[in-house]
Amino acid sequence: MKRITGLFLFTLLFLGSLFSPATAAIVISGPGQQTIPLAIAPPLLQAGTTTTTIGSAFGETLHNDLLMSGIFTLADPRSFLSDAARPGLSSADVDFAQWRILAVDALVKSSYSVSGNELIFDARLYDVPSGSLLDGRRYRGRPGDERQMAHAFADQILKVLGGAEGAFAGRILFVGKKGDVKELYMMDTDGRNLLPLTAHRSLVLNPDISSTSREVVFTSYRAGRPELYRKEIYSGSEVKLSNRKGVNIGARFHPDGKSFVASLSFEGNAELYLLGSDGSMRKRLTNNWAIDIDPSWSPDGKQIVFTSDRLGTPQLFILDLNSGATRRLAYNGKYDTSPAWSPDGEEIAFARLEEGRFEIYSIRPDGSNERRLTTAGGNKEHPRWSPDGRFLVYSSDSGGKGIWAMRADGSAPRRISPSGLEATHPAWSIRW
Amino acid sequence: MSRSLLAILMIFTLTMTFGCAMKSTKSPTTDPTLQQSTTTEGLNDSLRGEQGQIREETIFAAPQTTMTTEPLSSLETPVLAGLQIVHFSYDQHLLSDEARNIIAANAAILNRADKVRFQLAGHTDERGSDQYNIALGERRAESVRAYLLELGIDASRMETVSYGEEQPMDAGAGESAWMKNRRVEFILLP
Repeated sequence: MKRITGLFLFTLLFLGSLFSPATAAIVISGPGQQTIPLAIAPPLLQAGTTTTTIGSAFGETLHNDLLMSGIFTLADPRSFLSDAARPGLSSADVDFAQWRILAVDALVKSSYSVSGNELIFDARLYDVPSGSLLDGRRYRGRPGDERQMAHAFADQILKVLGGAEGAFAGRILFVGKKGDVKELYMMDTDGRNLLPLTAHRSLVLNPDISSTSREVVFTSYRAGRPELYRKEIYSGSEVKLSNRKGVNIGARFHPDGKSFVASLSFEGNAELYLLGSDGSMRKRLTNNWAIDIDPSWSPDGKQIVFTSDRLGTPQLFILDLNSGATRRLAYNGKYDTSPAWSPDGEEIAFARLEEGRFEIYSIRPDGSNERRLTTAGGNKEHPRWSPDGRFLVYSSDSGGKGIWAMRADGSAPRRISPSGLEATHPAWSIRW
Repeated sequence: MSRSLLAILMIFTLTMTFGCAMKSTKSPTTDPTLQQSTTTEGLNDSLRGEQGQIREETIFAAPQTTMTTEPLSSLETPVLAGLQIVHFSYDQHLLSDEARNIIAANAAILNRADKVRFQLAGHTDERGSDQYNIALGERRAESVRAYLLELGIDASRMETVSYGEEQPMDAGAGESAWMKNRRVEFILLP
């Protein structure tokens, strides 16, 4: 539990107001467009000119995150001139002329100090052409937190130069399998800091994480059948949310975090229900002979996209909660499942089974612009959006079951879960 | 029904042929013809409520040749000797004739141990969505339960559970594994 305490201690100091940031000259909101040339100077130890493993871990993490975002071109550190090793983080300390030679538009410089068990990181983002400070942050935590600090600063850089804050400082929740046992785990967005969350010694399945608190909901067979549990990650306190007769599966937090939609079969076959935060029955949402599962909320909480086999095979439908009307979403597939509504409401990602293999697709909620995002190489299922909508995480069995992430347009797929653990069903949390 | 007449005839013939060489403790037959006869008897028994003059515990021990008779012992689950697994087609929860026969045979066994409570555990193969498969496994278990009710098994003796694709009998891929995994097992409750 050391790690959890470490996360507690990890705090941010918002220094934005001290710096009155200049307006970024270029803002690029999506990959595949023009990229911003950016340089990350090596993090320096305490206003000195040396760096340690802490500094290189920070730099590496920042580098990977910004590269993953797809909106930056990162300058080769071998081309850096003397200013890269020069201490001092105020604009006056930086020799911007050197960086202009490298034709970069943005520059990151940082320094850190370790005293006892405290790590303090100072990071700055500069606009190179104008030689002005765009953003500055100070992070306090413990040695070992440097990668989380880098994720947080990457998110900040995306806010300033990419149009919206990033989500690298979140966590990814997923199901890990060892032997016959499946448990819930959590990891950083780059797959580090693996942390087991449950010890049910049973089958723990299909988790969701609240977008307003550090609470998770999941299905567990701990009591011999599929029941829903809710758990506070920090306190570890866990309550049974629904153990009604039949299946209790696929719970998803309402966007306000105060209620759930889930599939229950106590009235015959799997239907969608709205449950209160204590699992109490609020409302039955579907009424059909078919299997109704896999719900996902629209971000405004007014609609739910779900899977139903009411037309014979699993297909996607959208339920409007006000009118009660249901409409089919996608028409081109024979077997569509696990829809996930994007945070901006503009896209729905899902998995389609075709020719014996699952691929990830995206479609607009009005049914237009359907397109395949993944290509050959195993089954890809269970897509979920990063909270900033820039990425999709998903399960892939390419090279062993693992969690992968790719940009929302399907580019740059990469495995992020550690090896040695069969990992499926990711869910990406807000900043931790 | 000419089928059951034929079945009784066949059993008669077989009994004559094999005499009492067959022990009642042998595992259930896999020969489809024999399957047909025993299960038909079981069905008639339960429907007529007669005391088994043709108690075919003398179920003939034939080598196992089809999937539909794989014993549960491979999963080390507690079963009454002879209870068989019910299998399904891909993405199906409706009972085939073969499945009905197996359920009827199981019902006959369960009728002889009428204090026993049991669980119907529905499973699917690994294909398709795991959430959908949990619901499909439940449908399968409920299909079996519904037929057992028709056969006169008391509802209070049964409960259902679905494991979806989570507990394959054969962890391999391919139709031979999938066939085994699409199933409902009869598991005795303490």
